[in-house]
Amino acid sequence: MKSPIDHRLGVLLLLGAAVLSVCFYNGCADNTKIKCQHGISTPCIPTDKPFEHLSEYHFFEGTLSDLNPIGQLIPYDLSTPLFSDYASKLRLLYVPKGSMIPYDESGALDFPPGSVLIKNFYYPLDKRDPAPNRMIVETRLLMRNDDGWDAEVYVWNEEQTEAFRKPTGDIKEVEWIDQNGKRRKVKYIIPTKNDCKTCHFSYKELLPLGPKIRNLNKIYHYKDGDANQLERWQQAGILTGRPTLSEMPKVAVWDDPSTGSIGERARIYLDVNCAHCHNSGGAANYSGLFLSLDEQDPLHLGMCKTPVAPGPGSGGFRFDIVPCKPEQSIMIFRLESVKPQERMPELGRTLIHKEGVELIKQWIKTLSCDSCKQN
Amino acid sequence: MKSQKMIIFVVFSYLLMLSACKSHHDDGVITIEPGPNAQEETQDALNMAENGNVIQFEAGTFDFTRRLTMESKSHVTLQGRGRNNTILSFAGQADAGEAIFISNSNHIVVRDLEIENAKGDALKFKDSDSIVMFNIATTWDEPSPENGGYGLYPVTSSNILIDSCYSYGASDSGIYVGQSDKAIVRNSLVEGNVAGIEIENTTNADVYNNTATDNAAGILVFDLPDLSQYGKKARVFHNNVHDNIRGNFAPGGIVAEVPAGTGILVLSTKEVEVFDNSLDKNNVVGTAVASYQALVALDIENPVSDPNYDPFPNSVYIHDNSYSRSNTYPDAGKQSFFGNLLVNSFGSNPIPDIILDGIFAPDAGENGTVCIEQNDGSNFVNLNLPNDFPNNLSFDASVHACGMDPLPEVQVDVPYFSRGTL
Repeated sequence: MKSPIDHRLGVLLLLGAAVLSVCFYNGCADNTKIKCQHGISTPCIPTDKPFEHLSEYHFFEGTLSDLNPIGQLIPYDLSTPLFSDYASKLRLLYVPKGSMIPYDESGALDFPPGSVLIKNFYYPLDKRDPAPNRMIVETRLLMRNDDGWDAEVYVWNEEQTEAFRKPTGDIKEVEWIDQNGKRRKVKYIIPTKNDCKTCHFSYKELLPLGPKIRNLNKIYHYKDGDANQLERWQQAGILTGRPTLSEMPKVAVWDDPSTGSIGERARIYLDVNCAHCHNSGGAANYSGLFLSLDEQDPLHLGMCKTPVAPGPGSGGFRFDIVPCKPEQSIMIFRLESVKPQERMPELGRTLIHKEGVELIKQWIKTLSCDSCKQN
Repeated sequence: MKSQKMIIFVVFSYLLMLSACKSHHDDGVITIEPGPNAQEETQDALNMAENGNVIQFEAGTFDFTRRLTMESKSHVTLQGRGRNNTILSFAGQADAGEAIFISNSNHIVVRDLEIENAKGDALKFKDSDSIVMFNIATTWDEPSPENGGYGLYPVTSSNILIDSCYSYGASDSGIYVGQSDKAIVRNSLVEGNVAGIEIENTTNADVYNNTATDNAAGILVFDLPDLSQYGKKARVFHNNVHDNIRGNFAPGGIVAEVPAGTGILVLSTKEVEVFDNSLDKNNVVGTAVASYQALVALDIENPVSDPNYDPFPNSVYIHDNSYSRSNTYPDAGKQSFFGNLLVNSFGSNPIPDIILDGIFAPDAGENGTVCIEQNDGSNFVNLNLPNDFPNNLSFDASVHACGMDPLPEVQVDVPYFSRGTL
C-alpha cells in the first residue's frame, strides 16, 4: 500500500527536521535571509535584527581590518572627543540616499531613519610608528530605526579578521607604545549593550552624544582634501538648513589653547566627558551635579557643592569643586583615581587622562577663590 | 507500514527539536551555575529576559568581573537559593558604579541571594516601578571607607518593597531609598554600616520591624536641597534601634556629618511619625529632629540657594518610643564635627535622648509643629542652636507635649511573591 506521495511527504518532513536541527545547533537563529533596507546591499542596513558579524553590513571594502569605508560612508571627527582609555577612534556616518539631517544647534542631531553611526576603537601598537599597525578592539554602531536608536557592540577577534556582536561586553588586555616610547597597558572594558544605554539615555530616549553641530563644526582631512565637515555633509546632500560657516556655533578644542580660554576648553571637556550622565535627563540626574556646556548655576556645576551619594568617591573631601583649589576638589580626586569605586567617569575609563585632568586643574585654579564651608 | 512509521518518527523528531530549541526558556526559568561562563550567561539572560522569566542563580559562589545590568524589562525575577547559599561576589569587579544595576524596569523581584564586596553600590534600581527586594544580603568583608556606598539602593523609583534583607559594611547606608515614592523597608537587619537605613527626599515611606545595630547611625530620614524631588510622609515604627555607637567611617558626603551614636535622625523632612521604636544605647543622639539650617549655622553646609527647598522640618510626631542608654561613646577621632560638638557641650552629663536643634519655620509656632509624647525613659533638650549654643539649652519639653493625627499606612503596588524558601 505504499503510495509515492507518502514517500515524498516523508522526505519533505525529514528535510524539515534537518532544517530545524540546523536551527537548533545555530541557537535557533532565524534562518530566513536577512533583508537589507531599501534593497541596498552596500551598506546593508538590516530590516529586522542586527547582524552577528560586522562584515555583513558591508561598511568596508577590501580587507576588513583596513577599515577602508565604502564611498557611501562619510568619516568625521569631533572638536573635543570623549576620552576612552587612550583608544583612537575612527568615526563614520551613513545616511541613506535621499534622506537629510535637519540642521539643529540645540543638541543631538535628528538623523533620519536608516542612518548609522559607526565608531571603531583601536590602539596603534606604536604611536611613534606611522605605519598603521594597530589592534582594533571594538566597533560600536548606533542605528537609527523608525522608532528610535539602537546600539550594538562588535568585538574584534585576535586575528583581526572579523568582529562579532556581543551585547554582554568583555574585557580585553591591550598593550601599546605611546608617543613618548613608553609601554602602556590597559584592561580595556568593552561595554555591554545596557552600558551603552547608561550613557546614551537622555530622558529615557537613546540618543547619539558626540555629533552635535557645535562639536562637528571643524575641518576634516578628507582623502580629496580639507573641508569643513558640515559643509561637506551639505554637499553630500545629507544636511539641510545650514546657515553660513560664520553663523554656526563652534566649540573649543580641549587641548588647543588657540581655540579657547582655559575655561572654555575645560567646560567643553566636562560637557563631552561628563554631561551625558551629569544632566537633568541623564543617568546621574539625581546627583544635582550638572556639567553641560549650557549649565550656568555655579552650584549645579559643583562649586562648593556637597555630593549627595558619593560613597567612597569623595576621597574625604567635602565639595565637588573648591574654587581655586583643585587639590581639595572631589572632581579632581575622582578624575585622578583608577579605583573602580572612586573614578569618574564610571564607564569608559580605567586609566587616568593626565592631559584632561591637568586642564580641569588649571581651570579650577583660575576660579576666584572661595573656601566654601570647611568645618 | 514503513512510511507511517517514518512519518511518526519524523513528527516525533520535530517535536523533539522544537522542545530542544525551547529548553532554555521552557518554564520561563533561566538557570545560571557558578563558573567561568556565569558573567556572560547572566548578562545574556538579563539582556534577553522576557515577561515572566525567572533568572535562577544556583547555589555556590559566583565571581563577577563586571557589573550586571538590566534595562527596560518587565515582570522578571532574579533569585538565588537563599542568601547563605548563593553568593554573588564582586571582589574582582573591574568596572563599577554598582554590582547589579536595574533601570527603567517594572515588576521586578530580586531575592534569596547575597551580593558581596561590590566595588560601588551593591544593588541599585533607577527609574523603576514595582520592585521587591526580598531576603537579600549585601555585605562587605569589614566596615571600611573603601566599601561601596549603599547596599540596597532604589533611586528615582516607585512602589518599592524591601523585606527581610541584611546589610553589613556599607560606607554610606545599608539600605537607602532616595528620591522615590511609596517605599516600605521592613523586617531587615542592618549592622556595621555608617547609616543603617536612610530615607532621603522620598515621599510615602514606611520603615518598620527592622533591627539597626552597631552602625554609626541607625535610621535617617533626610530631605536635602538641589535634588529632583523633596521628601515628605515617612513613618518609622516598631524598629529595634540599639547600640549604634560605631565610629563614623564615611569617607565623605553628608552622612559623614551625622554624629556617630545616633538612633533616629530626622532632617528637614515634613510629616514624619516616629513611634513604637525601642531605642537603646545610641548614646549621642537617641532621636533628633533637625533643620538643614543647623548645618548652615554650623558652617557645615553652604546657605541654601534652591528656591523651592524648605529647610525646616514640620509635622513631626515622636511618640510611644522607649529609651535607655549606657556610657559608651564613639572614639572622638571617628566622630563627626557636630557629634564632637554635642559630646563636648554636655561634658560628663549624659546627652538627652530626644534632641531638637530649635530651628523652626517662622510660621510654625513655638513648637515648630514637632510633637513629642509618651516616650518611656526619655529626657529632652532643645539645643537652641542659633542662639549662642550651648549656652541656652532648654530641657523643657512642655511646648511639644501634643499629639497629631497618625499618618496613613503606605501601600505599595508590587508583584506577588512567596515568602517561603525556594
